[in-house]
Amino acid sequence: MRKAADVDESLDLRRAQLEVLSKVLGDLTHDVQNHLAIINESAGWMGDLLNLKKKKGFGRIIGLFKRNRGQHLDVEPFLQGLKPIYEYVAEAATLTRHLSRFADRMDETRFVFDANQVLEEIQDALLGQARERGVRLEVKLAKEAAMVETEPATFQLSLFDNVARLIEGQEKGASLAVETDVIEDRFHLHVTGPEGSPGDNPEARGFARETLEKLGGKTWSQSDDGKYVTTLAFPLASREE
Amino acid sequence: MKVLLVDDEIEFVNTLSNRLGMRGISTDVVHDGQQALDYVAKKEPDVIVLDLKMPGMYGMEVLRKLSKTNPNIQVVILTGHGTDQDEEEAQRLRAFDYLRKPTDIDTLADRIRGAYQFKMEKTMAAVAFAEEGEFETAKDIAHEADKLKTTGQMFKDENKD
Repeated sequence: MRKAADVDESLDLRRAQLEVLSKVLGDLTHDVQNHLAIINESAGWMGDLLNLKKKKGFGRIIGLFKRNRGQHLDVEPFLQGLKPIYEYVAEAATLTRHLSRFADRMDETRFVFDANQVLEEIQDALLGQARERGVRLEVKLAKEAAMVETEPATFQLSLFDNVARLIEGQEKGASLAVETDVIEDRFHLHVTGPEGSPGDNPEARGFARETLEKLGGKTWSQSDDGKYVTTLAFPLASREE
Repeated sequence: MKVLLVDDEIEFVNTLSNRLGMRGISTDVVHDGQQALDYVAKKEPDVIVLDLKMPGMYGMEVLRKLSKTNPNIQVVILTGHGTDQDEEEAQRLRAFDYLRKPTDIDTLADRIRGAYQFKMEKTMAAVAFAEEGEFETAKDIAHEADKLKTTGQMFKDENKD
């Protein structure tokens, strides 16, 4: 089994670059989260005020609501209007949380981690890549943790790079399915797509494939009932009792 | 109940203060770690809601100092950044809870009330035994109460995906 200490020295420079990226991304996600928090609180404050008015009953309103003067203000539309704000804030918060964890892993010193969690965090970006190319992408992650031991920053970039290049190699309108499992002490990531697409050629993944192999992983492809399946495999970390 | 909010995002923390006030929780507000320590030196709050990433002193440093100088203050971390390592460190330093922004206001209000209740129960139980001269029991109670926090039972992030 490949140990973290055996990581090729040629990856050191890349690691240094990734640390910078980690800081940049970390700052960005922090700022975004704070903006979201402000939006959330502001919207919530509006909701609190409206709820208060609703409870107390609304009399005359001057100013912006002149046309309603003398009538009770119907606050229900305002309260309904707040709902999508909360929803989009929650979605954006999830995205940035994934991005934040991605950024943290760029500077991570712990070399044993869950490969399924890595995929959970990069899947937003992969879905974005697929959308840009008009490719339908479905991601299905195994429920159990798949603890691998390797250099985390390069591993997650390699995983992303490999799958992104497979997406790039698809025709518009194609469907790809990404699925993970753990079999015989190995973590597997399977990308299933239509046979005969340009991405079928392993050489198309070039450096991404080489990087995965340098980290101790393997990749192979095979035809399966009219579909083309590319598998990335990585040994699980040994459990020390 | 005395609650201190510590956050450098002025717009955010002022609105948070207003919303908590509407829920019966009145708060004071400061905008960085040093101001928080200066405040605590003058009037010890029961609960502090503490951001991590602030200019000058990082929130974790504030928590570290408070855990030594004012261990009875219950701290709820409320952060927009927060790594897994931060969460572990906060647990180790006996923070009451660890929440990520944006968070639901009623969840935050519940956590603040929970932190205050926890502090009161721990203090009352310890005082009761100490008054009876059972100092070892008083210490054990405080220690057992702390264990509840360090097992992570209090660490429930409602926004966890």
